[in-house]
Amino acid sequence: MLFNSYVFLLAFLPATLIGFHLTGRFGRDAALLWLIAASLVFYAWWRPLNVLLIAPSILINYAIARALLRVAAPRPRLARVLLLGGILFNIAFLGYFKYALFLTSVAHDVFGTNRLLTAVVLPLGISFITFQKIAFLVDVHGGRISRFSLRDYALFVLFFPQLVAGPIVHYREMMPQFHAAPCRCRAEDLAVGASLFCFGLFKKGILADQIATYVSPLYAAAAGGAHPALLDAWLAALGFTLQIYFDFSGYTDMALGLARCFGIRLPMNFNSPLRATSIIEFWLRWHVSLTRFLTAYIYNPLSLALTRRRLARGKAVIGRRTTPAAFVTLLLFPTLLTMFLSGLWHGAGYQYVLWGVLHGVFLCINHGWRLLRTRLWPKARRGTWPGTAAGFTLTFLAVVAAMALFRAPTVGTALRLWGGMAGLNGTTLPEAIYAHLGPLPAALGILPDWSGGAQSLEAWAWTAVLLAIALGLPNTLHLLAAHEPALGVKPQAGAGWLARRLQWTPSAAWAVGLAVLGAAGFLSLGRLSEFLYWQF
Amino acid sequence: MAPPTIPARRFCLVWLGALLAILAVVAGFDAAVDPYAVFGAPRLAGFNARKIAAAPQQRMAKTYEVERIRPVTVLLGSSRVDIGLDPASPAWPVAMRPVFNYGLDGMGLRQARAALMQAAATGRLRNAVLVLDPDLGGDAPAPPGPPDETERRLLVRTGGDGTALVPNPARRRQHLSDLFLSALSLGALRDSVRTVLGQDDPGAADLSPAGATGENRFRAWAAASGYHAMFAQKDAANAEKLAAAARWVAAHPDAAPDLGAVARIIAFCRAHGLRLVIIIPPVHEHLLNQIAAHGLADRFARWKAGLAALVPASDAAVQLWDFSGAGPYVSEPMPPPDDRHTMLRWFWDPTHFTRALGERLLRRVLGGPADGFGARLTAEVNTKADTRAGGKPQDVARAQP
Repeated sequence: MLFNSYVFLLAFLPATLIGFHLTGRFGRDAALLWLIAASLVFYAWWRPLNVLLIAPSILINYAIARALLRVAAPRPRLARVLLLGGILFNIAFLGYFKYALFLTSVAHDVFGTNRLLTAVVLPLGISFITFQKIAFLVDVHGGRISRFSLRDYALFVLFFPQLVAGPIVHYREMMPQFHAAPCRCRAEDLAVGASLFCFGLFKKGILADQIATYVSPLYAAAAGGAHPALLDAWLAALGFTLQIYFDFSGYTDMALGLARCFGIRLPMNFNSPLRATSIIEFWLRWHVSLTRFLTAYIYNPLSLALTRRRLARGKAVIGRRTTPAAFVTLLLFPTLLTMFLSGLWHGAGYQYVLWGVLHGVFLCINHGWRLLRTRLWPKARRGTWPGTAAGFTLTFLAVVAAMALFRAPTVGTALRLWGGMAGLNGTTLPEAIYAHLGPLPAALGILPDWSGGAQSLEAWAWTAVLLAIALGLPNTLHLLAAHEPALGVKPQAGAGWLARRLQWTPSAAWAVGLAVLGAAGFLSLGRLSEFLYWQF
Repeated sequence: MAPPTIPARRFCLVWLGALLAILAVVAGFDAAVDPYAVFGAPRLAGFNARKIAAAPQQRMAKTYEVERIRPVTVLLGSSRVDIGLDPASPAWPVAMRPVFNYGLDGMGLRQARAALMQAAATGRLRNAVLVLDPDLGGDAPAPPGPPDETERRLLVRTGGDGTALVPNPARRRQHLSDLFLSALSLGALRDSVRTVLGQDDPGAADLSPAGATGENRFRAWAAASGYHAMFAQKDAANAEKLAAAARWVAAHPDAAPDLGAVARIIAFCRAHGLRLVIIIPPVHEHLLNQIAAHGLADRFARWKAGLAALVPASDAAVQLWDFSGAGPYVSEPMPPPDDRHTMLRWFWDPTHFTRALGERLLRRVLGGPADGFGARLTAEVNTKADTRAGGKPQDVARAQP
């Protein structure tokens, strides 16, 4: 079920909220069981088979976690084997459903094998669910989780606001909330939740989906073999960057709002990432819950183990005197591996893998630059405006260029787009503009474009508006900071003038303003579209 | 200064009330403006009389408009028909009125048959005029499958032998969906606003109650970009299509044109006592030359001969007319690239003929004098069809005045 669908908004959500409120009168157990049942309906709506696929996986993970709990202290080696088995089970589960087709096609490409699978049913949100289950097992093994029941574990995995596209949550940050929640619909929570949901619905339905109507045909044309000219190629890359930002952050706002209606705060996922002044900062602002997972469960353990090994051998590590070998072993290798896995997690295709590796390379360059800068100019002032502007520009261009690879259906399509962005496919202008510029365009080698001139201008205007919103306006978390819209988000001392000025309060003006956004979002449902992140 | 706060409970009530009120106002406004002519709201001059936003939704709009008009004559075909044939033309005999222009952009024969069924289901239909797009090869007939959105919207569907009409069970749900989305969607709201604000826009399309969206758009494009640009754009698109058709014909040299869909429409008309006029439309010499240059002239001739074979002279209820030959109308010279003032009389681009030419075509078909424009084809005179269709580019050039 999509959040931005009539069945969800007009039937599922009201019924679930009313049911939660009523069952809450019979106690917490009843209310939480109601939430689990509603989440199963939500999950099964699109394809009932999904529940049959995910339920055994939940039961097996629960059994492994119980066993881990029993043997962790007395038999640590067995616990390690159990943990490894659990992780392998989850990876195999994800691997079969998500990567079997890709792997057989890779084998086909590399070895010329003929065993090509034609169809595997992909359970909804399997990537998100798998990460949460693995994190749970690791936390149980590490002693960070010591008490849980099947009901709690099922609720942790299935809670519908975060079920199919995150944010990726940890058991230890969710269950205390469920155990403390009043299990009634409180007006304060509903006010904040509805506000977040309206922001999200507007971002998804109005901002993201509208730019998609301009961007999608450009990718389709490039996929069909067309070589986009300069402006079209940049429009494709920039437009998609804005589309996916407003799409996914809009979805996250809706998820945060829905959870809040039940008194639950989910962790934040986006914090104006396009304003980042370095690629490291970008990943601290973009899909934060994924970065947090990858850092905690892949990058840090790997980096720590390698650091210990080098220390044991008396070799240099990352620090004041970082050697090239230490940089390669302790920073470059873990970063590239982590980002390779990040790319693979996002999708079963070469372009996703390359996108992840490309960001890994960006991160390594960023880390290398920081080390080099400290060594070459130890006394240089940080945060000067030319440096910040250069950092922002470089980061923005890198992110936008990489997004073309992320969106392109094939690597060849992305190469054609990059060629266009580099000006290799020439430059065209809509004929209506071209005709009014006299001999100048022809002198510059620019050709007239006979098709879609008005659409192209609309697309650029829309892109400019979205860019201004993404870069200039406070984000949802800033606006609602005083009401903890996401777990741990508090008002910041250094918040800008606009963010302070536009602070959300339970006022009639905000209620009407958000009703306008919500109504616009509702009206946008007429043309159904799927969330981009549902496929991951 | 921050706005005064209110209790959270009241905030929720104000929010919900405002949300419902906004949606109610939007629905009321959309229903009153009725940008797609779905609700049948009265057309008020200066407010919503001209349906300037209906052209992109013409499949839906015309399906509901035809139910209100209940035509005696229906015009079927692609945008050629929509633009070039005037349902209000004085050429129509009284006995054939009212006429409804059911021409739709890109209408294929499956859709034409669906439109014919819809018009027939309104109860007064006696005549149908079907303008065909030339089949030059590679046009796969629409595969049989579940009804598409247009077919779900129809009052009837076929049953029994394929010509009998029975009530369409999918209609009610599709109708409700159309009403809902025409009242409560962002696109409908945008188009309602456009409709109200654009009543005086001379360059806007206007879906008339009789179905036609008219020539305004083409006139505005011609004034803004010039005919040279319009011809260049269409030439490029036609070149792509013809190249694909030529490849297909080269790969299937012996494949006969598939005329099954036309035959089914003829059978439907015969079964329901309808008089059918099939028209092979006029095309500008640009396109005739392109057809010949791609080696498709023979294929074009075979298609026309195949059509003629479906229409015996003895059958007074079915006529086939061919207007695709060379002649003075189709060789009208194109203005130079920088000329945005000269208006062509007979064509907007190589494919779309003007209403002025459409008028001549109608007069000819409806019994006007023979002036060399158009010829009736039958199974008995398809040799003539072969000769005319096989014309070479030089022939066309020679025919220019």
